[in-house]
Amino acid sequence: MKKENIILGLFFADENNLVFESIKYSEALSNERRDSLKMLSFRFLGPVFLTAASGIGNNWKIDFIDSALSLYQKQVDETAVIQSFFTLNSSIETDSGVTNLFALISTPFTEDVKLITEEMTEYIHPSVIQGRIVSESLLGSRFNFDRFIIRELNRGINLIEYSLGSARKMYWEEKRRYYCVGLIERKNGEGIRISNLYTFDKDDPLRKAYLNFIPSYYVMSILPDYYEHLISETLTIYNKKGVYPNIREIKLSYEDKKVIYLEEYLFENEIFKTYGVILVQQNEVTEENNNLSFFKKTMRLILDKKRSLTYVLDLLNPQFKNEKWGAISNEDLEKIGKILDNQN
Amino acid sequence: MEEIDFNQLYKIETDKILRYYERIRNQFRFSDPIEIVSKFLVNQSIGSSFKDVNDTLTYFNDKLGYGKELLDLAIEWIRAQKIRLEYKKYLIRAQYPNNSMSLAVDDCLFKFFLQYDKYIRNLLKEDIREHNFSALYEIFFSPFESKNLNIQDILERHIDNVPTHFQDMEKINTNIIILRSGLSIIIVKDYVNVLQSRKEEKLKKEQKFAKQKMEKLAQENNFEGLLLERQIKVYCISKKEISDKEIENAVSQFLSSYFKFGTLYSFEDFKELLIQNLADDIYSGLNERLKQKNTIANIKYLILNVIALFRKTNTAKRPLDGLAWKRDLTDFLKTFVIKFISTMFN
Repeated sequence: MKKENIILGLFFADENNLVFESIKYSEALSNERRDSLKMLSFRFLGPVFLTAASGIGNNWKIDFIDSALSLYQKQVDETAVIQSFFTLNSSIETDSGVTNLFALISTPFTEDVKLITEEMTEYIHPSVIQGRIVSESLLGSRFNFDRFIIRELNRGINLIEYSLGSARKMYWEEKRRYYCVGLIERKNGEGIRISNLYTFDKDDPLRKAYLNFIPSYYVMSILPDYYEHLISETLTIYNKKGVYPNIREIKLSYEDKKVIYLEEYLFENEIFKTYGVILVQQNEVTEENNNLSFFKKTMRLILDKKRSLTYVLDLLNPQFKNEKWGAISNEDLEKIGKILDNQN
Repeated sequence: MEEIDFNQLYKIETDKILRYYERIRNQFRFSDPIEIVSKFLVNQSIGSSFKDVNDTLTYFNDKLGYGKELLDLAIEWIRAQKIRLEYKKYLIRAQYPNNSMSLAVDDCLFKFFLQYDKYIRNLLKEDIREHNFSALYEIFFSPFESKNLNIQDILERHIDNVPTHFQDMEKINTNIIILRSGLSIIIVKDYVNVLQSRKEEKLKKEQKFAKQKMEKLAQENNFEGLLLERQIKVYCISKKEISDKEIENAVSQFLSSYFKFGTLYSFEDFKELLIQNLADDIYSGLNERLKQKNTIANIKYLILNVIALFRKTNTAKRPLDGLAWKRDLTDFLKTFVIKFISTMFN
């Protein structure tokens, strides 16, 4: 695959959150853009560290971010040939702490995400951990970690690149059911940027109960907007004009807990209007669980059938209150952190 | 990663193999059990000498896992040949960018041997040192043709490569490093052989193509008057008159076989060839009686006269396009052929 056609980066964050990266780019990319690329690792990994660094809740991992790419009709001629944009994260916990291996991938194909995930979690990341142990014991003080990790990342990025280009396969998966704990409404366009969270009433005991099953309402509120803008900037750095990202799915996990953020969008009157649900995987506490297609269908009701927000909130979770929590300004976000993330 | 059932994926005819083992055992019932399994394995064409196999089995005998026997190890040794076959098939088709050996190793380890490592670890004791596994991989997957497996030599090579690491009492998992230690050299050698075969294949193809091209060029560099030859042959047998138009067509075909539209030719470049080829074609069309009367040299002399006459009227010194030469020569040669045919029986 030509380098011009893909976006491929592999980032490694060690136990002290020191980040190393290996990024593929075309020789034609300007120096200025190459410098911008160096910041990508920190920016993409930022929220991965956030849940730990914020001190709120547990050390959640962002396992997967998938983005749809929409075409700007007026810029069809300049459209760069990419179809998929996704990120994958592998976390390994050792006695010294947690290490993260993060891949940023965008290609002209739909890609076999499962295969790439396995390459990362079963081979590349363990190879880094095991290689370090063995090299340290063999070389002692002569062991140079910086050189070692760059070599490992290059090895990993080559393996991932080699497996790119195969179509996404449908694997058998156990059908899971989920419980909705929040709805995020977003609007993005020229001069417009809105993001609101709808969830339980602040005094509802369910609000507090489900805090144990998500990183925090604060983190969940900022993730879609943060990553969508970051992906958009990445596309610009790589000179991929004419496409705009729309977050499709974000998967998070902590021990056996899993959260999915699922989003649907509509481009209307030059504005991207999106609705996303924060879903907790069915467990002993959750009630009224539904499968993912139910939530997708429900969000399309607002976007396509123009059903009222109140109606849809009631469908998603009758316990939700039609109260808007702003999720863009620091002030609003602090309010979410202070009130909704309050354990008491 | 999904658990792969190696027994199913790389199925070997265990029942048949075991029946054969029973025969060997009955035949050598008073021999040492390790020797019996060694004899059985050598007869299964795993590609090592009896001594090497016997030494290897003796070494691993006290390292077998709970409930495992030497025969289990022997069966896995046979299965390994099947896995090697599948891996080689994959490697033959693989196209690694810049023929990267490092990528070939990583890709094959990930696709073929990572799950195998999990599977085969059940065969040996959990607490044995890790270099035993990398040595076992080298023994199992070395190419058949270069098998010279001295277990002590192999162990010596592996023992310092991968130290066994413990955390408290538990062995630290270094399976990927073990796989690399045991299989990297084998994969690199196999891929080098694949590249060499591809190179040879490419060279063969290029040579074949060059030969075909030369043959085609040689054909294109001649005047071919097949139609003219056939007309004369038919006339010699049937004496049936050939129309002027038919002769014109035959002459035109003769000239077209050499002259190409858009290519420039000098008169001196084709003069000799034209005389020789036309004389050959006419001569070839004659029957035996006429051949005695008209030698090739005679016919060439007649054509030479016609060409000399043509050159008097066509004095172009610079090269002309093939189509122009064809147009100018057709009438002269047609007149000559008509005259030749009409007088050849006289």
